[in-house]
Amino acid sequence: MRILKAIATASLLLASSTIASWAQAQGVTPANVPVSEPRRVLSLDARAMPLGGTFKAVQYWQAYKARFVTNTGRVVDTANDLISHSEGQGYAMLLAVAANDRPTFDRIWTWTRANLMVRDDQLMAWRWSPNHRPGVSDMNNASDGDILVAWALAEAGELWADVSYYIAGRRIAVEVGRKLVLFKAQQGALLLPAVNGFSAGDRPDGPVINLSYYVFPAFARLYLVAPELDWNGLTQTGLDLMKAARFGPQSLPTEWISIRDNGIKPADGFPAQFSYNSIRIPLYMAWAGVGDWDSYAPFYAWSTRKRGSVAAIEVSSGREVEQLGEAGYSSIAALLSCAVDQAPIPANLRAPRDADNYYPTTLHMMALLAIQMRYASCLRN
Amino acid sequence: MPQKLKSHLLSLGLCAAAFIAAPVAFGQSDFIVEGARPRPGIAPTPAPNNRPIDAPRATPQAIQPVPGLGLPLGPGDTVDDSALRYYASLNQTQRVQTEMRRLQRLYPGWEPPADLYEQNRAGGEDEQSFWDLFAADQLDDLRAAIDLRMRAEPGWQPSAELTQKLARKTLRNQILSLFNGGKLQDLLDILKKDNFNPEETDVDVLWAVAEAYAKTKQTQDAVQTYKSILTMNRESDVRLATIQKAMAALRMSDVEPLIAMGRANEWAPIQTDITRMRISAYLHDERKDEVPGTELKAFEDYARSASDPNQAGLVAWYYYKAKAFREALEWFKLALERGGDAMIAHGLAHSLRELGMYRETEEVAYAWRQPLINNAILFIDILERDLTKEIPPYIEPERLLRYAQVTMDLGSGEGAQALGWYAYNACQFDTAYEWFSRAAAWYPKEGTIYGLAVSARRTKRMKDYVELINRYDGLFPKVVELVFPDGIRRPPTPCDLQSASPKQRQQMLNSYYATQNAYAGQQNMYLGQQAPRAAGPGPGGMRSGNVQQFTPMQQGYATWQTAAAPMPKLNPQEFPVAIGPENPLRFASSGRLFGKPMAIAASGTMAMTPMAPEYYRGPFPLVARRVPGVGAMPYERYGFALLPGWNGATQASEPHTAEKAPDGTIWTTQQAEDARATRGTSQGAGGDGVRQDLEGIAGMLGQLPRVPPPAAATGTSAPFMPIQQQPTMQQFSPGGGRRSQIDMTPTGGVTRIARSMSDPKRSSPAARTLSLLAFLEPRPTDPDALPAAPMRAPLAKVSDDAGREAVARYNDKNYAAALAMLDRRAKTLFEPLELRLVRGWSLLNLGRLGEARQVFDHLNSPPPLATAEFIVTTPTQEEGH
Repeated sequence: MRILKAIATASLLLASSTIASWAQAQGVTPANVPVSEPRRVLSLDARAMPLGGTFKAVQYWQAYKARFVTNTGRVVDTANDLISHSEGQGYAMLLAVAANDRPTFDRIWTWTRANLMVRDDQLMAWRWSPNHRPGVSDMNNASDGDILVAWALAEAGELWADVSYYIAGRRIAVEVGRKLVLFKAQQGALLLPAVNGFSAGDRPDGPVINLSYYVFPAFARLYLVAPELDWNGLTQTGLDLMKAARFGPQSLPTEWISIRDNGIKPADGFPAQFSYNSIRIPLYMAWAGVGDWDSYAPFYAWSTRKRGSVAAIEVSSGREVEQLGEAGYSSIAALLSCAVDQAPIPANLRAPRDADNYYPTTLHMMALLAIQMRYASCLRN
Repeated sequence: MPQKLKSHLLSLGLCAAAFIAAPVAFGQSDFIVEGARPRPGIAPTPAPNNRPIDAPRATPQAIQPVPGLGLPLGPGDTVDDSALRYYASLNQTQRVQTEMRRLQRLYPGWEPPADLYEQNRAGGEDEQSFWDLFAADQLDDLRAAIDLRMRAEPGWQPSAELTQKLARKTLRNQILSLFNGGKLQDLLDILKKDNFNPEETDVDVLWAVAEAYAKTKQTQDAVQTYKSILTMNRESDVRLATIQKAMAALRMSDVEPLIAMGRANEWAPIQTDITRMRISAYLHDERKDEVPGTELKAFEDYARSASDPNQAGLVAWYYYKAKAFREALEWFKLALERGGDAMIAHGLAHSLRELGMYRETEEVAYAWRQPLINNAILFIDILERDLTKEIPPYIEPERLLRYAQVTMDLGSGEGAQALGWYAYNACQFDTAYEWFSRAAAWYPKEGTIYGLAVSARRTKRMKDYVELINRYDGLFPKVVELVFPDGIRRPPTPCDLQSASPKQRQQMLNSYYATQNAYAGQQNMYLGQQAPRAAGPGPGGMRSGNVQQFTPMQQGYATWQTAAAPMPKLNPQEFPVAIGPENPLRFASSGRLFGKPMAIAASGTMAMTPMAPEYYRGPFPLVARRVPGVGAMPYERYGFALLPGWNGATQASEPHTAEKAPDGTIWTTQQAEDARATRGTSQGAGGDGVRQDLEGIAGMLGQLPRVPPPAAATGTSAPFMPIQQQPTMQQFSPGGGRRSQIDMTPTGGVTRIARSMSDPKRSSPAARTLSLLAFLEPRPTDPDALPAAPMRAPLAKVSDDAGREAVARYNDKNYAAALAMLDRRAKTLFEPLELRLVRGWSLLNLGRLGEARQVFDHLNSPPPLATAEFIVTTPTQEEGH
């Protein structure tokens, strides 16, 4: 089962912060371990592209709605006790814009603001349960959820020429810039995963970041609503950190990374794995068309270890700890091969699978969306 | 939402930075040299391998240098005259002469070659055709020709010079091609591979290399490359262009050492560019020091004479950043006159705000709301401040209407809750309910839900009320407190008094002042848990076992406290009641005034297709779970507990520390600034003068204009029926609105501005803004033009304690404390003329001239009272579920 982002909340973290430094115990291999793959020249296109109306496989969107989006606009995580989270709302809003489906977009957005915008600022409470009292079960935010929703609103504002979306998106985006980004960090612009629980003041090994919260395709578009913020700086820092945060024999990043002073190491108290969160890193890179071969190499090597399947990795040993069996996860490997090798997307990954749960299906939809936007040639036979 | 305007400020500062990033123009492109450029001014003797092939190598051992005497030239020895020939090939006669003198000094008896200027082809005449190809940049053809000849004449080799120059030119072309193609990493790889030597190439390549370093964040290498260009070159145009290129590629702090390499006044031709970049660095927080005065003055002269509004705009942002708001305002005005855009207007609006001219800010933001969403947001937020005051100030009906319209157009939850509070505090409860309903759909914060709940209760919508209390149990303590009163006695609200007969008023006030505890306490059961026995009166005594100590949710309440509350008797129909957790409220924005209205059918939007039914349909729990980040629930003070949170948390979060600003964020900086700004002030009680003032306020409320309900703001045609007020005895806790960002002294209704700007179609936003500011211009801006502040303020006419305290503080020369006291007092009491004077004098003494001016401007024009009724129209078509 997908490891909930939930483990990220401060209350649990603080309890685990006394765990001995992973890096010392495991002997972390520092950054820039050469990857055995031969160096390649990628021909990526990093230009910002509008999202609206780009998703042409409308039947997949309709099937997605029928399974994961309720009539009231709630996006249901079917593998996690039917909860909802800001991230899921954001993904579905993006898909609705991409499919040019404004009524559904409005349902999802109005549910989101009516139910998650309960914090005393412009960010969203990240977690909501249908069977709890109250529905909101954590007041902390999740930065990637906020960024995804702000991005979707910016795209909606542009596609449907409605400034109310722009304004709502701007309020969220500016709040992200104000409360969650350390623009003047030594390493560049660090994105905190949440307001609470990850900063230098909150943890002995803080700040702690999650590279999969660097939503590169969003950074390329948020200038629509908040041009004054250095979104390019976030992209650049994300790419830089990716090259620095390479641990273990496979040179992969862990999900949670401590950036204390000059050091970079797996964060204390989290499984030091490349797993459900991190697999979105190559998705976002390829979707935005950013990065060079050095950025892609470890992910490419990970995705091509076994044909047709991918796994979560314990980074210190390089050992597989869990097969990510649902097809949606493999779609990211297909996207990587497409971006690096221009390899056609295998026929069995060109549509989401009915058997997959919310998260792999959503990743699959995102990968297909990225392919349709930037790598259409990989869909030709 | 306390920090919202702070968000503006963030965006504002950053906007300024973005603003100046764009217009860095280098108008002098003739600095950029076309084509290959030899390295003038480098070390006079080229490396030995530059020597022409036809000059046999001088054996180093054969030449023993003799200090001061030169070298004997033996028979058959040749002199390395390659440098000489190189300069001659370029017709640099002065250098040729210098080199000749050097060689003659070194080799006495040496004679310069006679064919120096004739034989520019050092490779020999038989290579002439190759050199022609080389000169024509036909390198592929050249390589093919060499290859052909090598095959045709086995053993033949091209001259070393040709080989070397071909290699260099090839590398040069390769570097420039990669640079122009943006393949910077590949470019740097080549430099590394080929042991690139900056002394062996020309300045175009060096500029490209430096920029490649800069763009790949190898700043030190970039700086070093620019430095070597400056070291090797004396030509003024090359050096100026180098500084300009460095400024375009690097942070100004990295460019300053390069600028320091200049000779006196050397950079004068590009001084404007340098100052512009220094200002830019200051705005980006990359430079701490202000720009030197003379330099800034020179730039101001330039900006004043330039037709480009962005130059004046840059000066304006500079002053804004330096907190010189009066200067910023003047420069923004100039930029606007020159055709500045909505961002300039945004800066102007914020300068006005900083100067305490909120009414003007509102007008400018409104006029510029369409071109730039920042202005629309500022318009919503600036008036929200006044709308959410507990004692509502008079706001002209047309201002309320346009605020309501913009709120509906934008679907602004901030605007909706502000209108909700204004209506509520003006005793217009049905309208309040309507606005709060929107706000709860768009912006369901604790204050909003609380406002909706009390409005529902006032208007007898008890089903809604019960649902709200139960839906937000566990999340919003203040809402649950409606069922579990904190026992703090509050005075009757002005709305209660307003609708009561004189006799009833008297009873209410007497009851409030009665010393005995009016509560007839009753113990009760809650969810089967027996309420623990209270340890004694007062909230601190309501403690038991594993339940944490009661913390007052609202600090201000403590000052009103007269008795501790016993456990209230609960109505099982009211609380706790199982309810679905989803907030069902949905409202669409009207979205008419902004953007391009677009019919759904025309937008290519797909038809609605089936969606999932809700997977979970109950049962819904009766007991709340702990939510991380939320404080204690009111019933916890009676010993009742919540279920553990989803992550196992059992303790309530301390509301004031649950979320502290993460280190290193802009928020942290803003909090520190806030703390500095408010140091020395404290919150306190209203005082005993409340009694007669409550009645005064009650009388005033009837004079306030009607708040237009949402339907009125959408411009449809059915009439709006004013709701009859429904007086009740239920208590309303003062101050439900969001805490305002700005605690500066507000000003009353500036009706003349509204009049002067009442016809929005009359002119462009710029013309309207400038006419507004022209109107302001003759007003005093210096202390001399304002009334002098007396040493002591008279106390005689001030009757209440808070007012006396303020006067006493003034007379102690503690002007900040006097202001703080006046602000506190003004939350519950009208400010009479004598205290308004004290306010103005305090501001004068504190140097807050803009605000002082506002106060003195309105001394004799108290807020106008009006009874305008709205002609209102059809209800909005609500989109909902």
